Amino acid sequence: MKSKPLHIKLDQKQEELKSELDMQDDVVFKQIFIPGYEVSGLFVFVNGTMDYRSFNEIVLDLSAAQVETRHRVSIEQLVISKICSVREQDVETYETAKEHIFDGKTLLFIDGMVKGYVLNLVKEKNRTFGEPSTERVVRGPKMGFIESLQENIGLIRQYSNHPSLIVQQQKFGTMEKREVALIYYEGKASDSLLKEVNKRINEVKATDLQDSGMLEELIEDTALTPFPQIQNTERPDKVLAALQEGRVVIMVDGSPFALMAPTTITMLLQSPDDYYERWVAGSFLRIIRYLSLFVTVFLSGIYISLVSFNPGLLPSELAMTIAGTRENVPFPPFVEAIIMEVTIELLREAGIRLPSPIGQTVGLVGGVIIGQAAVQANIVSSLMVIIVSITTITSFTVPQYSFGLAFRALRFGAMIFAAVLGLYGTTLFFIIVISHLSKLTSFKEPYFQPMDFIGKKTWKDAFLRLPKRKKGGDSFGPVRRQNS
Amino acid sequence: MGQSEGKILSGELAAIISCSMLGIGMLTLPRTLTEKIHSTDGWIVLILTGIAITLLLCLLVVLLKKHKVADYYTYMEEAYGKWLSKLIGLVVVVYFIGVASFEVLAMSEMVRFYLLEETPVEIVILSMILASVHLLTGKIKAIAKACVFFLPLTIVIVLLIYLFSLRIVELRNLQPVLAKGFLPVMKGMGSGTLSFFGIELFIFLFGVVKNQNKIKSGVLIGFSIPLILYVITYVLVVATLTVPEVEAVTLPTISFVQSFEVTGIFLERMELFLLITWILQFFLTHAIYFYFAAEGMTKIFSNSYTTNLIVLVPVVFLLAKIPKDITGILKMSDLLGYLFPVILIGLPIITFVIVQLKRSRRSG
Repeated sequence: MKSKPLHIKLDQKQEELKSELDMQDDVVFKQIFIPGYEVSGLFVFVNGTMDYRSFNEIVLDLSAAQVETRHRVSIEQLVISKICSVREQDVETYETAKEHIFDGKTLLFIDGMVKGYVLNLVKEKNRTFGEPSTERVVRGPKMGFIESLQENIGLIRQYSNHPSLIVQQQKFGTMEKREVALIYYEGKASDSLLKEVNKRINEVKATDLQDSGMLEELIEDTALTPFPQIQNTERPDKVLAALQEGRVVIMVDGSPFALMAPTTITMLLQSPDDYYERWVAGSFLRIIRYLSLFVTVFLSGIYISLVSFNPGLLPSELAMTIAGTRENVPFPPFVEAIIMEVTIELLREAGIRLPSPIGQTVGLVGGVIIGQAAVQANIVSSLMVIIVSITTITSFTVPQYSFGLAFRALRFGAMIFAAVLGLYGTTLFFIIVISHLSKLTSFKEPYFQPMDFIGKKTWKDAFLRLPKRKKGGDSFGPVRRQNS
Repeated sequence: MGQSEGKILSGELAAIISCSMLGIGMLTLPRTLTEKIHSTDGWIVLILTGIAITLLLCLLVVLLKKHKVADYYTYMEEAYGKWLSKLIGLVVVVYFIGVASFEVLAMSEMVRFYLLEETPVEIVILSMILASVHLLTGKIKAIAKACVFFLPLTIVIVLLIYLFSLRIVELRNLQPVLAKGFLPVMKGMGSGTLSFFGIELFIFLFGVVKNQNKIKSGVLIGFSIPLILYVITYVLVVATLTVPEVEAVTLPTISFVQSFEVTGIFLERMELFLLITWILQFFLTHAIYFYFAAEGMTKIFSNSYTTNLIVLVPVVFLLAKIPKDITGILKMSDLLGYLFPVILIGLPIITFVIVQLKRSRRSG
């Protein structure tokens, strides 16, 4: 049966195809008669993948064809000229014919001719471009990527028309083939980076991907870390900025999230509107973000260690107040903190999964009512509720969701260290996190680069966002990241 | 470009040197200096010692550069031959292990005294050693990054604390300057070597710096940051606590910070911040010496770096358990204090002379 050549007779073809596609109820066979030539044709396609409007046009065109007496054209020439706009290639065997049918293409067979024509009448099912829901900005483009790779690439090409923008596509997967595109600026992305990216992509080519998140996990440097080593975004402006910086963008068909590599911590803490707003506001927000990261991870830990190990280090009045609020609470600070933090994490998770109107209710009921009731029932102290609320709010300020998740998880580590070793434990945890970050790489480039904060040229854009001088045209050389 | 290359920038070199110097030395410095000279002129001693060491550093950089030293252990092999150089290298490694243990021990004492009275010291020591092993698997580049991150944090916090302390500082206590003449100052020159531990490491870092032309500035900046902090600390501490009290307490810098309260902000006790930043600095000093010990062993025995790290964990831990009390700790620091000038001055100059002789004989 393998690569059986097509029959000449139309009836035989139909018989053969029908018997082979016996179980597929959504494969449609449509006969057409071309009166001018007195031959019949056969369209084969999968119902629902095709654009009926353009199909109708072709059918009308073909059935209206008349034999010109002066310049005789053969039926083959006629069909080719009518379908030239959508014709892709020809098939010779049943095997390839089947492949094309299930690829969403339409096949046209003419009686008396061996080969069949593959028509691309595919209608992609897409949603329209909308505002990216995971990365909102106040000011800046409101367009986000959608699930179609070709549309997304088109969007990038629309804004970046430089010829050295390279788009390389390859097929991934075994069962379902999916297009994966590698996008970069030739000359800006360093050769070593491209080599590394290509190597890693080729290693995982035989994987079925549903989303770019699956690819991310396969090509990242190490799995043993809570931190995302590849940045993802729904925003074309972020992708364009990344391309300008000499980074590589990877997009998967069917996923609105583009992957950008390599990544550093400073990149994950930047939001595009830092650059769209005035520099004072941008710098201010950036400092707030760094601060809130610290608060997210360490505030509960510091509270636990101060209250349970070293209340003497607090100002005496504050210590009295804390002791007052904890007077009737039967649990040690660690248990108290864990109860509240876990509750908040549960509420947050529940709020995401539920439809949005109910989700908000859950947040309200959980946050306000449970917190209030827990304090009144003397299960937790009111100060603990305040601290947990602060850490929850601060954890939302991270522009990259997956990065924020990492810090939410780390908070529990800090709390455990604080419960066991007090302030020393909290400091130790800080040391461990920084050590871990120092060792981490993203595509062999450093992930955490504190030299950026004090480096001669880079400090203006690392911790702060200071105004940029007018640039006299970018040089088109490879982008060298400072101090790496 | 990549992280695995393992080359460091001159700025990172400066940060490593600063962080390896800032350790126990800064906390004990006012006492060790004052004990020796019994007056408030320790800051003059510090400045003079600083100038002397700066000149020495310039000389050493010139010497090492002249011979294009990429790796100090192979350089020593050229001078002393295979087996003698291995023996000397082993002594150096033992010194590194000693300092690493000493720093972690000093830190555990500080933590026990101020933060965790009931927790066994062993847990503190072991957790710190394991944390540094975690950092050290990233080799010199990871250490450099941690130093670059922690150093500005330390400087800013320490200077802020000092700023708050200005209200209680009585600079009049420092007067009269040179009341006992210049002689005790000269005598005090050699004391306080503990505070300068760490500067010798640049000899071993020589080969890994990316920009060889900037080594000198890197080393000098790395040296001057702690030196300036030392002078400020000494002046503030001695001016506030006066000579007899400084001689009486073990860690005068912490006692000084404890002596005042800042009202009006969230936390009025500043020692909290000093303790936390100093745990960071103890960690870095410990980790850096630990790294050089493991790296030295790798060079001498030519085995795997990771094995050495693991082997050194119990060694450092047991060594930190030997001194039983505060006098034992001080004895340990004295012992290391004898080795320090040998490794900083004696070894490189002797090695230079021998290599110079050998090379000139070969060419001549």
